Amino acid sequence: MVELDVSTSDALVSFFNYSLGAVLSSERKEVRVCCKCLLIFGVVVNVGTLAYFKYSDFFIENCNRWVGTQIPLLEFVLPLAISFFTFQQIAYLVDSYSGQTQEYDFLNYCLFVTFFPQLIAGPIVHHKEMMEQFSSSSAKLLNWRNCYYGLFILSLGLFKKVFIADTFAVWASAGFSASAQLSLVEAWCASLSYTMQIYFDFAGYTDMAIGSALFFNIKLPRNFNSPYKALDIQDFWRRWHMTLSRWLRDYVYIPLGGNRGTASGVYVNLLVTFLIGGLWHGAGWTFLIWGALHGCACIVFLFWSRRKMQLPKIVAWAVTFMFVNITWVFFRADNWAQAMDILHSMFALSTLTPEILMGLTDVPIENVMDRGEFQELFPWIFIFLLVAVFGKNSNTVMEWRLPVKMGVALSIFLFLLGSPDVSQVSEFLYFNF
Amino acid sequence: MAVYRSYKTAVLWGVWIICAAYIFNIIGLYTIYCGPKGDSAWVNAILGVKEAYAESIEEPKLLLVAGSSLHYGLSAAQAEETLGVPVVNMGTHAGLLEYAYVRAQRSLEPGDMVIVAPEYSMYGQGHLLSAVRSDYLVSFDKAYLRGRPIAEQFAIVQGYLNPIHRLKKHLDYIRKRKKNFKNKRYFKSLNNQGDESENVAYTGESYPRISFKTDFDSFAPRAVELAHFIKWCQINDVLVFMSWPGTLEFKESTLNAARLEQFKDFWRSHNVEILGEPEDFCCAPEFLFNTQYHLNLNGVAWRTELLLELLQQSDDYQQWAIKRLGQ
Repeated sequence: MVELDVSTSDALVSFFNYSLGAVLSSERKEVRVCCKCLLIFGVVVNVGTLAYFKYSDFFIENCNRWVGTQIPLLEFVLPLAISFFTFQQIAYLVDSYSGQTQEYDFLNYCLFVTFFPQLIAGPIVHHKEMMEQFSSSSAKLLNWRNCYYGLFILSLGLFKKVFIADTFAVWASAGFSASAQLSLVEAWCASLSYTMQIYFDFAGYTDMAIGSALFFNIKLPRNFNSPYKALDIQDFWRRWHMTLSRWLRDYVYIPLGGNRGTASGVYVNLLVTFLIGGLWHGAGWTFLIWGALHGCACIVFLFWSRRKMQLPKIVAWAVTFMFVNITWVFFRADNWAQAMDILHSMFALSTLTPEILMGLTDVPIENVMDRGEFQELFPWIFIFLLVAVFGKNSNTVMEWRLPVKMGVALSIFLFLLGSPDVSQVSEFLYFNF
Repeated sequence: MAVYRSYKTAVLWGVWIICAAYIFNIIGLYTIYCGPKGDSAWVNAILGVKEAYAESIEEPKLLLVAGSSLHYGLSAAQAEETLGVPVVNMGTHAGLLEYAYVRAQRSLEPGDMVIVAPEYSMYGQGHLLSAVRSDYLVSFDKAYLRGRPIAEQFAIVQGYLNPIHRLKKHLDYIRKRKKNFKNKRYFKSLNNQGDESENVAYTGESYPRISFKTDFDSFAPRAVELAHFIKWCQINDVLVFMSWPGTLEFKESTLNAARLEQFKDFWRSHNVEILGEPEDFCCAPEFLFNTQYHLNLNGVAWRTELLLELLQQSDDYQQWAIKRLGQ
């Protein structure tokens, strides 16, 4: 049996999708007849490849646990960005089938799949929104205005990732690794640190992707729109990983039936969509639970909004933010037990004695996170939460009235402040997906 | 058009300033910058004490060379008293890798004797890079850094690329240097011979036991550097002995016996006498201080006594002692 390495299998899948896309978009009648079958075949091959690399060990592990088999794990090295380019290529096949793709040059197709700024962690782009830009003659010229904004946005992203997210990462990791012994304060510190970490990590990556694409005169779609400003869970999903939400809506939720049909049917569609979204992030029960919780929250919100019920803005924001913060615990935890440990500590209200509430005694702290004083962390969480909620959005950077000289000075400062020491390997969280 | 030109000028200035900051930073790393982390600052401080004592000795002496398993694991003062010869404990940090031998070379004179007792990690397969070694070379021994192969220099320097971070560390170092040395923060419990005498207590914690998972590669960089050191000693009339670090009993592994035998073959192939067996230096948990390699004062006394007993039985040592008396 011939063993294929990861890069060869990626190339084969790309070639397969390109060829199939060309056939699916054919206007010849005899070809159109079996197009639907071909589309289904194409989707199955893509999902199958993703499942093979990403989910086979999860499946085997659960088989071994529940059925009692002893199948050895395959322990594949996950191909870089497989979740992203699989979704992108499925979108391409569906778009080809519905006649929304136009250009079929194989090299350009490969560029579409592997365009480096967005390959690893999104945005998940559509064929039609990229090909026109790739083939445009202006894309091949040096545009200093785009370079200027590219440098600015790239520096901003670097700063968010290295300076802010990586600082919170230290606290979050310390907290989650000592999950069993955390006090109430420490558990909140750990979960809020991760909430800040993932926000600035993903915002940073998105900015860096958009900034580096701008150097090539390519405008990537918005992917991040201040999600912690959301006033409800639906609003959150319109702001967080916007291109994934768009993909799930267009290629899962709507084909399942979307908003059509009975209320219970819509709820099931929502739940299934979010379960797939959760599973897409990682092969683990914690991701499934995270997806299920968000699905349920969307169902509750839909139920609520159909009855025209409304909360005051501040309460709506607080409820949404707290829900998102709590569900990130499942997203970050290595397993169910770790998540429950953290949540248990976060809600161990019995430790809050009347003396503590009256300020007569300090809140007990176990110091298991071993990262210094918590008093140092709270102001930073507060400051960056304010930045996340009230700060300007980097999507609108081109509208900022910033003099060019000041802009470049700020870029230099942010770039140098955020530039990592190369030996400190710090991955973007979304690289794992 | 003027606006467009201003974008071009701004971007080019931005890129140039960023590049200039990196170039300035790299020049600084090779010339003036210091900004050591806790470990390498501590290593530098204790090495200063140890080397000062070694330099002050004019007669043939005995140097003990390894990482912190020696600093916290043998008593040069006890050895000096028993043997009647000056003994220096040159143990610092296992992360210095081959640089520990380089520093020992600087203190060795013809006619001296050296006992090398490396931690098992110092034999490892990995390259010659570790955080503490890189930090030490960048902060305190730029001349040695500049003499290393270009690829290794590049690997070290790339860990120190952030210009603002490095400048800040350097300024912090200047600000704190006087204060730290004034307070003798780094070596308050060090005796003349370079022994640590503050490791009194047994903490009761359990530490991981050592086991081996791969074969020993005598052509790996760490082993090659060790072989160079042995050869240098032999050429320069320095008598070399080898001994084992004090640690807990090995964790069971089918590879342990073979791996230990490979270590012994390595030393034998370089004509170095081995003092004792690895198992002789395995101790009870009560002898540990704060890692599986660091001994408390009871452990230090036990290990020193055992090593000296083995040394005194050696013919080579007896001849060296007679020769030394003759001088």
